[in-house]
Amino acid sequence: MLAEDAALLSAISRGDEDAFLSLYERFSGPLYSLLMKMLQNSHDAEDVLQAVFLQVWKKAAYYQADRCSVFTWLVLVTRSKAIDRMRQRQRQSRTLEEATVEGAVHERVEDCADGSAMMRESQAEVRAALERIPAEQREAIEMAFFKGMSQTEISEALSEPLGTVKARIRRGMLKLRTYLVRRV
Amino acid sequence: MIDESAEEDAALYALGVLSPDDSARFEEALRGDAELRALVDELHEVGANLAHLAPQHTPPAHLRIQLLSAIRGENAPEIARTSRSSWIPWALAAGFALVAGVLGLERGRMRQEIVALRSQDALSQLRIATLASKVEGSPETVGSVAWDSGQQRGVLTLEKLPPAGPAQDYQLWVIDPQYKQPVSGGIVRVDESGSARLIFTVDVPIRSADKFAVSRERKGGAPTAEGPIVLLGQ
Repeated sequence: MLAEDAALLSAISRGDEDAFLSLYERFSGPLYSLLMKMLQNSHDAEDVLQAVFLQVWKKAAYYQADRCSVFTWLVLVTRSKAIDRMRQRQRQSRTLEEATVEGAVHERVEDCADGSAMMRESQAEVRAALERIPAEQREAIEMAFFKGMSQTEISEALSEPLGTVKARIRRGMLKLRTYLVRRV
Repeated sequence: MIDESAEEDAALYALGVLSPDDSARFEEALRGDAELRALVDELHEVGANLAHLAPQHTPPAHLRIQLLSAIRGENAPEIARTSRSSWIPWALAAGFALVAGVLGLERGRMRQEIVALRSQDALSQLRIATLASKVEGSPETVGSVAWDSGQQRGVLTLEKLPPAGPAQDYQLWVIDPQYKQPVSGGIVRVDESGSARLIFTVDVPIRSADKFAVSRERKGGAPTAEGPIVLLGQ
């Protein structure tokens, strides 16, 4: 599947619309779900998803197959654009996101609008891995990943020293690496 | 050996929480440290996995139509031209060649695609070979090699390869007529699903990579090809 994903990007870089649509069918669901989680707003999520796939269309040739999977590359692009959108909103309204970090781990799969078996399996694996790390490490990582908060913002939100936050993220990420990377 | 401070920066960088200044400083450190780069790549994979935690939603159908309309109004996709990125198209091409093989595309169409790939500037020094099984009973084993003569680097991709067997390894060979013996491209590690991907370089300059072969050799590989050839392509 990894080679097939990379082949789709290769075809897209040559202007293949069918490959583009295939990639969209394959990844738009997970990316849109991530955007809904991060942005909590379907209008923004749609807008950013469109920007992500337009970038894919234009920049497919820049994907580095020897560095990461296509999914990882797409998530990196998506998060980057979502964080830009969050900051833009913050600048406009100075209103912080209300999404709760707690919910990230404990939201029920049954709440999903559309859940394929493969996605549910991935979700269950990641959830299980997260459950194996201490709650404070999980909390810091999720604040960074889903809320796009800087290390300083996390430190302030948790009322913990910056060094403590950094150490929690480091320990948590390294543990998750041992649980998750082998299956990527 | 990566120290704790660098590990910390790597984790923060992978999550995108380093400040712009710290990110720039860390990226500078990354350029000269392959081990640190590998760690960051893995941590990026970890981060991407977290995306699976988001409750699933389906994008509205109209978005697909809008996107298709939007890309038709855009210029053609860019061709990567930087030296770093020049590695990528042919790595992707190897994946494409393999998938085309797996999907059973007819040779004519495959050849057309490869010609099209080669016509791109970034791929002008690219040689793509599809590998066919030489083992009776394993006709479904397929592979491809993309070789960049300019960079003297290649990528091998294999699918549905049976285990090499105890005390044995698969080994890749590049056949260049200027050398009497095939040139080793290294040991090929096959995962549980029978897939393998090897980015390889060789110890001597290759002038003409006429053929590529994969043989079954003793554990750890052999200095010259001794074992049976399991895949061959040109």
